[in-house]
Amino acid sequence: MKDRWQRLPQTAGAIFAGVLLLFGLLVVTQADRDYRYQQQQRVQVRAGILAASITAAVDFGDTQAVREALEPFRVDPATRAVAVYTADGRLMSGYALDGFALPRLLPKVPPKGNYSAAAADIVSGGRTIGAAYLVAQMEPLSRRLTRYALIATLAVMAALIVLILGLSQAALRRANRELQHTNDELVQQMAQREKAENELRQVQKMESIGQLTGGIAHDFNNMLAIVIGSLDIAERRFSTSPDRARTAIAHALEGANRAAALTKRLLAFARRSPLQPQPIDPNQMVANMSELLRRTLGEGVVIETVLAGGLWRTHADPGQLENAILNLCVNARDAMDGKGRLTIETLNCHLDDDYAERHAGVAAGQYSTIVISDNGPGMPQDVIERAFEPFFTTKSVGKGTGLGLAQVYGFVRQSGGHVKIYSEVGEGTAVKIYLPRYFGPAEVAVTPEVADLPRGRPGELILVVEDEDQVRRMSVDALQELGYAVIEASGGADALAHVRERDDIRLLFTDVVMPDINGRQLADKARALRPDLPVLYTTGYTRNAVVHNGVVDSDVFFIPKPFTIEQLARKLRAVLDA
Amino acid sequence: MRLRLASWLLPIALLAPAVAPAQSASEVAVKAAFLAKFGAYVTWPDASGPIVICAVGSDVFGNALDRAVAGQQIDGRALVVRRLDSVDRGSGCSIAYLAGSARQTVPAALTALRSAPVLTVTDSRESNARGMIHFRIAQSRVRFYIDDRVAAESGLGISSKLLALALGVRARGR
Repeated sequence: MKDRWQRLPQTAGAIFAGVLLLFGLLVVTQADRDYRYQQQQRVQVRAGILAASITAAVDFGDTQAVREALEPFRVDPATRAVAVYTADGRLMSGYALDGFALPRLLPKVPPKGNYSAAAADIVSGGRTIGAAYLVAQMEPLSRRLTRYALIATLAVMAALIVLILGLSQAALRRANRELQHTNDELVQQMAQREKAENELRQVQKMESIGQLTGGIAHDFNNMLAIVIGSLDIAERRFSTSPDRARTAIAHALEGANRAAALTKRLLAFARRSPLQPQPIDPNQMVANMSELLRRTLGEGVVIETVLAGGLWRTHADPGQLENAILNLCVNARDAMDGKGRLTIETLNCHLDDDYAERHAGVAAGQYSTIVISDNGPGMPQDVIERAFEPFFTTKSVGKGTGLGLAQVYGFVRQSGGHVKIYSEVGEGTAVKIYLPRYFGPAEVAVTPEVADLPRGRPGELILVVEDEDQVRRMSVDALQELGYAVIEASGGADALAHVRERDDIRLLFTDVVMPDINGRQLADKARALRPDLPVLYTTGYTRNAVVHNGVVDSDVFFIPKPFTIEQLARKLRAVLDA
Repeated sequence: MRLRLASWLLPIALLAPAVAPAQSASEVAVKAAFLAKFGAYVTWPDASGPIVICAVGSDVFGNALDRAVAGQQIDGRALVVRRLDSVDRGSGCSIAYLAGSARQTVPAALTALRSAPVLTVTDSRESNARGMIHFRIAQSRVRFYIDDRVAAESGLGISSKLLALALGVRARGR
């Protein structure tokens, strides 16, 4: 069916060509018929004229006069015969030319061949007294046809054009079909390639995960070795040498803290780290960090800070930003091999549409910028390109985790900013952190003076909900250490029973992820019973009901696992005193 | 003009005594047929009624003229033959063949019919006087002269087809 429709224009073209040819033939035939008719008419008229002019001559039998009247017709090359017949049909006078035989009697039928003949009556006084007879040669058919050659040529040309158009269209359609075929193949190949690429990506992902797991396992092993070893020593020396035991415990704690820092960095890279952004003046932050940096980087590194006046504030998690700056500074020191000049510069920066177009994920606008540059050996382009990849490191095995710049990248992107590395081999490296300008009201971050740990007050009863026994015990121990009264529950049902029974519970401290009910649902149910009950959430993994897009809701209190006693103490007081 | 007419008439007058011998029967028949045909090439002021052919004077035709007109019509008009000794304006002739007689000579007849709407026919065998049409034998054939001027003066029109057959034509004046 489709084929028939496709063939339609061709058929129509052929029919049209045929019609054109037929039309040309018709025109020629009609023109020829017209010519013959006109020729006949002409001969008839001439016979009529002849008849009229010789009336008297015939009437009075003046053969001489008749002959003279017939003579002028010789001039016409088409004339084949001229004759005058009497009323009874006998030849009176006449002649024939070019082999035409003159009939002796007036012919009743026209002569055969390519002639036109006409007879006209000679009338005198109302009486027919004879007839004038004229025969003329028609133009030969070939001559006539050449006269119609133009029409014929036009018709043939038109037909040819129609045919050629039809043929070319057919060719075009064939070409189209081939093109379509090729295109289909191409699409198929593309699909195959895409599939292969997806598979490759999957393989690479698995490879990365393997690398990640290996790296974490390696680092954790080292730290666990410290913790376990130290605790072992502490246990042995506990009774004999309490001082050495305390030192060992301090070592264990240090190792555990390093492990905690590692998980924190992992989370930052994974953008799973809950940020608690607040307005920041980067100038102030850099100034506050200078002492820390001096101690960390060592005496070989000259630190120079160039702080812009009227620097815009930004909105970010201060701890993460500090971490990022520290990371970059440490990287710079390592790159300079402990000797060189490090510059920390702040400035206001406007990224325009053009820049935003050229860099993926960057929105045009105003940014508060921190630039950390060194005069180290710099990086080649291929290293720059891979610098933010997790576990990519140029440091020797065991010295770097390959997570530093990845953390920086993750944090900056999560804060709506942009980070860019400029480096020339032999000249140095500059890393620019762009953080979006903050227009909100200034919030003076009051950093509480580190004095004694804020302790629980008498009668402050805390309900701890945690499905994992060991973690729950740790939490209970810590809270009791801080002076709080504690009751515990291993699940949602227990917890709600406690809330019903005891109306002196001052705070619900709950894990977020639990098998029977999640922390958020538990809190909602508890609040249905006790609308004024404050809730503090904790979790090791944060992508859940409490946290949206990695940012904690402002009315939600939250402490990430793992936490120290000090962190817990401060958080609890902040919640209870709110 | 009158002088030219005179100089044209003079030779005719000189030839008058030379009268030819008697006519043959076929010659008479041809002349009779001619008389019967002239009517088709002449227009009269009054084109109604039959065309009357008068044979005036001595009888030249016998019954040849009657045979020539028998059953003939010219444009619907019948042909009638009348024989007269003499002729005048009131004779009712359309065509008058003037053979002359003792009572009225050809010139006298011509004079009598002057300016009348009558086609006068004379014959060189009978007289040298010329009417509007004047028969003459040329190369053994009956031919004629035409005096278109006199015909026009008499109100007659002679077809140019007939004029074309004449041995000579005296053209009408302007």
